[in-house]
Amino acid sequence: MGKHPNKRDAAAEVVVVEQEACLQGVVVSDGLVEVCGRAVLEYSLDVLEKAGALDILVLCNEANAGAVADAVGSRGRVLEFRGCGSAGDVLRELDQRGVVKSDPFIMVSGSSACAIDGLEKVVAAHAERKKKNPEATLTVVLREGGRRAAERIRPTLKDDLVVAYEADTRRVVAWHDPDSWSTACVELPLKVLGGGAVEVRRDLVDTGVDVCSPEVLWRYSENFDYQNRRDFVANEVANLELGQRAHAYVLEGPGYAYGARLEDPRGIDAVAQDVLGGWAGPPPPIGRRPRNAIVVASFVSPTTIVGDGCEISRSVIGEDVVLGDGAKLSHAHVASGCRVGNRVHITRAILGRGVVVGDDAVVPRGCVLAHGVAPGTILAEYTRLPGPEEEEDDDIANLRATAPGGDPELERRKADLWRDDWGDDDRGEEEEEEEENPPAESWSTASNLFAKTVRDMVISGYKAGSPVDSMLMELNCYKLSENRTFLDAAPAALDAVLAIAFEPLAPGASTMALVRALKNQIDHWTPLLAKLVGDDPDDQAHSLSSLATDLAHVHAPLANPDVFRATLQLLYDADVLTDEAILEFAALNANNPLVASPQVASFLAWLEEEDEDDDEASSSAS
Amino acid sequence: MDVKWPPQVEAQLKKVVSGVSSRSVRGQQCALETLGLLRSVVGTCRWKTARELLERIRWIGRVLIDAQRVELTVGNVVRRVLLIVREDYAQLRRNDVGATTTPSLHDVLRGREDDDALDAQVPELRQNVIEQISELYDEIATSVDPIAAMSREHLHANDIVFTSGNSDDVVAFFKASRARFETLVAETAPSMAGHRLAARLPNATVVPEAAVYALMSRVHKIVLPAHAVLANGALLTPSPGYLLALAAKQHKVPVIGLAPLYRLCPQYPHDPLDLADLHSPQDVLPYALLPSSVKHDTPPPQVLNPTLDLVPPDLIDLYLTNTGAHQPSYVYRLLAELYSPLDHDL
Repeated sequence: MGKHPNKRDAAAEVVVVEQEACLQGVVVSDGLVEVCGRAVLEYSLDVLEKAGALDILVLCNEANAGAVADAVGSRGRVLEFRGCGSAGDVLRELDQRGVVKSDPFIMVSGSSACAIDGLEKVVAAHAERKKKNPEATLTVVLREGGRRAAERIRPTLKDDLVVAYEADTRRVVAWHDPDSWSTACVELPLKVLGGGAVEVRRDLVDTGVDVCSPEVLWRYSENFDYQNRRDFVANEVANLELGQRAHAYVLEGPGYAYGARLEDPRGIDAVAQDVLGGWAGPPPPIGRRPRNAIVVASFVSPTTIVGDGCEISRSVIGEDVVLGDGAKLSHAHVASGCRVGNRVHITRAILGRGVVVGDDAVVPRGCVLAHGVAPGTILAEYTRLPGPEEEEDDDIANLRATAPGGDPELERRKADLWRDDWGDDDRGEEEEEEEENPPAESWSTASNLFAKTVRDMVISGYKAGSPVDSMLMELNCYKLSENRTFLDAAPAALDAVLAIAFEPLAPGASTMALVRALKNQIDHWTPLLAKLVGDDPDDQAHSLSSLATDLAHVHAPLANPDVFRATLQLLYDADVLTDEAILEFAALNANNPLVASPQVASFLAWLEEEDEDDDEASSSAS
Repeated sequence: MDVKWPPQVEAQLKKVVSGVSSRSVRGQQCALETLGLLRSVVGTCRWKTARELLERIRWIGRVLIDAQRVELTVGNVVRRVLLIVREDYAQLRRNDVGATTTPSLHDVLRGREDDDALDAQVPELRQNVIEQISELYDEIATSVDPIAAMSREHLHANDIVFTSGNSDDVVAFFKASRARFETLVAETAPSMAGHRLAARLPNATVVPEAAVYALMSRVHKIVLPAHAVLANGALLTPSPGYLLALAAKQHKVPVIGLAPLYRLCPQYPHDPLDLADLHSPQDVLPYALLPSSVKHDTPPPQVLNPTLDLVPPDLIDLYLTNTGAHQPSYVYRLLAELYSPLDHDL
């Protein structure tokens, strides 16, 4: 199976003994991000210890080996990997070294802040499954995130994770976690519907914790394209035929069931709030409660000096920070060693280590500062110091999307995509939502393309002098290939006819000239229009509605009630429209100013009389 | 302090730390394991003077307390052993010198000790301390028996007794009584420990927290297990112990706390939430149901799920310890006998 089958077989007997002996845990550390004065790595170690992993391996690169070793202490072994560019490289190297021997082992990705109770159940279930089916080598641990995760924790610029799994076995059949935000629908291969029911969920958050069998590492070694876990899971799941099985486990408690991957400053802010709220383990001990300041739901390091009259809410203040008198901090993340001047306002911002903010400065929403700020400076929202080297629109969008505190507009859009029934929003927002509804949008784009093609076909056919019958045949073929009906093509064809009629005329042409041109064209196109509009009065009313609303905007002459009345009359005379359809259309669109105009009203009255006459005539005849 | 421990102590320390931090060992078990660890520290480590030994034991204590702040019994046991070392040392020194005096109450309360003298080498100290630790081990292991023996004096026929939590001490206490009495057990949502306790008792009725006050008028006695008894005589007990005690005060129902001595802690309750052993809010309100925060830009609700209640001393009428029944106001005296004031801060 693996790259070195002989070596593995030789080691197999030894492995069996050690497997029983102790469960191993692996943390792939990629730096030391801190949340509330505690390295994220420590959360991972807690999870592993709670799950009963006695041998914990922390993998890191040469750059942060020292710091990682300090953080880990005696809780695990630190393995240093030199010259590894990605997590995938590290795992391949780990496979080479052959230190992971337990089956299964737990793997935690370095960016994951998690607190999970009952992981040992997942491990046991994994081992059980592996016994029955040797190919069930991976269990991905997920949790339910709800609206808060959708808005605050999932990265705004990335597409949401969509997972599909078989309802009974929890085998993952689709894993959609792309790097960029696309509003397109998620496509699931038909083959996933092989067995029983399949659950497709987009409310799950990936905790970054996996229960793996050693085969997972072999597969990293076999495929050098795997750069990180996302590549791996997506690809392994996509290759259903190759037999490797990934299973999903959705945490449900009791106890802690929290996990989130920290991918941008915005996520750090949200996760810090969750940690302060006690969602990821007991809330951190409040180090210091200054008597001269108001502190609400915040973490203030014991070594911080807090000035008189400070107001600190929902913030994280690191070690050895000095806060000036009267500073107001809200959702602020101040790293260790910072100096914050008197009367400074900081809102939803992150200050890197040792940043000095001068007196009376204002640091508003979304700022990330690695440099100091002079006294009295008022920064713009979403400022980054030092700023990006080349400011492009994409960068600015990125800045806003990943800023601490986030961009409310983007978050709302993201949340709307995700929206569920139990939202408590009022009507006003729902209208907005419909405009932005992605499937509808893509459908209407496709419709626009179809309409435009039909219009172009008619106009170019007219210019080339093609006979109307062959035009009709051409349209018929096109609508078949696009799986549309004639009715879809009718507004576009009417549009084209109007364009042909009105375009050659000067803008100020008289009504008579307009009507004459129109009559010529309608006479010419009657067979085509009659075919497209059809016989059904409802369908005809639909075409008419587009004439009255959309087309009147495009073709200025049509907004003239006289011309509109003439158009109706001409279409009626040519037997394209029936009197029933016109009357039904008028009843439906009574509020339309064109329909309400006296000219059209008199035409309608005449039609009705005509209709009654017909009725009388037919009834007297019978 | 950079300490080099013998490998077996190292392994034992790791085991105890992981057990304590994962909360898989609690209460009595936790006290016994800590004591076992300290016994091997005293027995196998290299130390010459009492001062070195105290330093080592303190170091172990700090490591264990850092691993789990909620489990107060660890600190208590470590302090008991520290006192044993101090007293044995003093005793042996007195024997050497030939003077025999018992410490007066005044000396005990002031914690007066000839601190400089801790550096003398006393060869018999190791043996004596190990013997004393073994005695303490037995005392803790059997601490529930004297308490259970008192149940005849407190539980009478046809009594209705209210309790909460799921404590071995309470079960032993109830089972030791020959009288036929009824037990009401608070449900203790969301952990539902009350259900498990009721299953272990004959004649028990589970009562949801909301109904506690309504039933209190019919109750004769309340028995609360101790997670810890604090220096001011307050009781840390599984929630909803405070609710029971408040309702009991209104109806003048006596409240009895079952407190083996290893539960007595020389710490004062400065911040009730620090001691509350907050559990996951997930059990009360699933994360997925948190409301949207974008629209109003309001912070998410703070959800607290405390598993321990702090009952102030004036709501407790009596503590039953393995050395007899005491009032909360007497706790300070017990603490002075059990711990040296020098060891209150480890």
